[in-house]
Amino acid sequence: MTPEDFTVYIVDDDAAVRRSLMLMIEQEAIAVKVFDSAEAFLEHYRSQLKGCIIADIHMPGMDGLQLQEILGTRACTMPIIFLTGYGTIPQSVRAIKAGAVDFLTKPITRAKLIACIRSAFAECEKLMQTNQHNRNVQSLLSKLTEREREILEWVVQGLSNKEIASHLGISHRTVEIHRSHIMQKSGATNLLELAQLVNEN
Amino acid sequence: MSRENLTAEQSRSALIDSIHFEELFDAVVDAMLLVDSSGHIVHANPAALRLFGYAHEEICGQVVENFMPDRFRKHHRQHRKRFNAEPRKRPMGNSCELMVLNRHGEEIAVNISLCPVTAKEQDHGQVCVLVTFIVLDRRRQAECALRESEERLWLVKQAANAGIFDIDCVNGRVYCDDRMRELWWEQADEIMTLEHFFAAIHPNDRTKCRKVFNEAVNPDEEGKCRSEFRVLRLSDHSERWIATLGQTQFENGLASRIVGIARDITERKTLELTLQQQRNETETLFNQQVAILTAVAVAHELNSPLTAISAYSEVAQRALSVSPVDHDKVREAFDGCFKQAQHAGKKLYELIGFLQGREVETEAVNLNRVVEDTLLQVRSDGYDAYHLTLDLEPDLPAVKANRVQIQRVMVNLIRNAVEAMRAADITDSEITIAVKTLGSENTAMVTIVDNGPGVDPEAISRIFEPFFTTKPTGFGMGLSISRALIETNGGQLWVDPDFRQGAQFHFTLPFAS
Repeated sequence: MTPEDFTVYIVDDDAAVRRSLMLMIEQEAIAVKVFDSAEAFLEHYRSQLKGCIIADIHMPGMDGLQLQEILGTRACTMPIIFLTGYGTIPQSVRAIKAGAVDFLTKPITRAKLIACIRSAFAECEKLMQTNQHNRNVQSLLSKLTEREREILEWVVQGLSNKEIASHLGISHRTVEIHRSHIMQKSGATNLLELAQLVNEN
Repeated sequence: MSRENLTAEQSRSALIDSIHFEELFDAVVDAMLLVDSSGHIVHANPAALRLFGYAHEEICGQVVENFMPDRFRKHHRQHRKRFNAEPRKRPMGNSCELMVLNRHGEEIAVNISLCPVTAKEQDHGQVCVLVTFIVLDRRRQAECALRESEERLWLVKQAANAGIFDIDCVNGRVYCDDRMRELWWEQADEIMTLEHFFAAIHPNDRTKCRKVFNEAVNPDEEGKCRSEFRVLRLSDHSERWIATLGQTQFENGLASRIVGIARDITERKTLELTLQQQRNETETLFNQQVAILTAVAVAHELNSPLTAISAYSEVAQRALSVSPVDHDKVREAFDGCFKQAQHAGKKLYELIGFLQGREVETEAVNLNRVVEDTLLQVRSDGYDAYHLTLDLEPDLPAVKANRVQIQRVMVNLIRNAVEAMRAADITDSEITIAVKTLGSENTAMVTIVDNGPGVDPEAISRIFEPFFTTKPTGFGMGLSISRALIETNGGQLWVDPDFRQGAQFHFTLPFAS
């Protein structure tokens, strides 16, 4: 379940918390990198990074929520697990609305932490697959000619070849040829699949 | 003017000319003097002679100042000069009551009016003054004044909506006016016994009222009768708050009579109680917030070390359970646990040090004065419905303490006592405050005793614990804070576990010297 290149990125200002969590996660044979501030992590961050982020919600300088906000604008596929203390419910609500996957109240247990990390990895993988799929669809549709794309619009709206032909002032036979080209290029086997592709894009 | 009119006018003028001036002058009922411009009397009518008690020849030729009390003479000469400079008809002394002096040296109150009279040309046109005296009727005046004063009093009484009581201390009877009977829920007669009068007072306030009464009739006191209490309607237990204000009359060193007024102050009292309740609620809420914030601060300081200790422990567990044992990991994890536990302890001490702030400032404090100030404060807070006994040691040496903190503790103890007695519906609630030197030690001891239900023996060991309370709306911090404050001031605070007639709290403070 854990791809080898998935890493846990710990962002916490407390050295002991960083070190102890790192040891714990490493015992599960999961790669760990630690950062003492959100700023330090952002310097290291690239959109290709895979895994998940564990961030303390309270930090001097940039806090966990601000980090979440910035990552949201930088195509991050890694879910964030927040570490919280007591009396931080309002922040937690804000973080959930911004799409945080989980919260762990300090002090935390191995069982909970590892379960969180595994589900975050799964989430990350799903996100990356969706992104890949989207990229594929995009490249498929980009192969269509202008005329084919025009006809595709009518087709997914459910118009018959005859209706499309009369709309465009071309022969019913020409529409049929265009249509078979569209199916070929997109790899769709029927109209429903074709409509799904267009929708996803 | 027509011919006929002219004739009538001429004949009227002739008639007036023919009447002798003196005859007319003498016929006037009011006393009159004719005075020349130098202030000498030219003529006096019989009424004037009667007023002053002189014969005509005695009075004529004298200066007018001779007929007024000595104290007015000098000023009058100046007034006379001013009048001559601008003679016109006017009342003398701005219509005020003036005094003249008769032959027997008696002063008579009069109103005087002045009128310039010009003599005929053959007498060189000299300007004389006609002086008219109106003798004031003293008795009628007094009656008038009395009526006005009574009316004024009645209006004031109406405005204040006050009832009037008049206590005959010798016979133990009370006279009440209509409003007073109304205030007494119609449970009073116009004249009734003192017992009957007191019977309508709320049982919880009766002791206090009797005390006020006893003080009022005490010839060694000032005879002030000032009190606020509730009057109860026995039929349905309706209450009304009354304020009385009275003054005792003493005869031969004994109280004979107390006269005073009573007013309905229910509205004000209700408002005061509401405000008091709100203040208490706000205070509880505030205390709660302080406690929560303190707990959050503690949690904040401890969270990170606890997180690390917990994680290190699990790391060690895992490192020990694998084969071969990862000794380096185990060592690092235990080392981390130890350091983090030490770190947490240090952080806690730092936090407590911060919360305690700087050293408490102490000064030489007169404990007896603090007791008096405390009583003023609890009274203004609405905690006053109890019988108070003060047993203060005179010339008690000053203690070394923070005045504000000590007062805070006393307020807290007294409020606890009052609330406990109120909750138990004690009718004759009593509080005794004693301040004395503790044996031969260099310490003062304050004892606060009530006659309430006392402290539950099962709770007695816990009452000084934080958040422990037996009150339905209590927060449970009062006694623990009080004890902490007394200890900060170098003293001790405890409750007497063997006292059975109520609750008895003691605290000590070291003397300054």
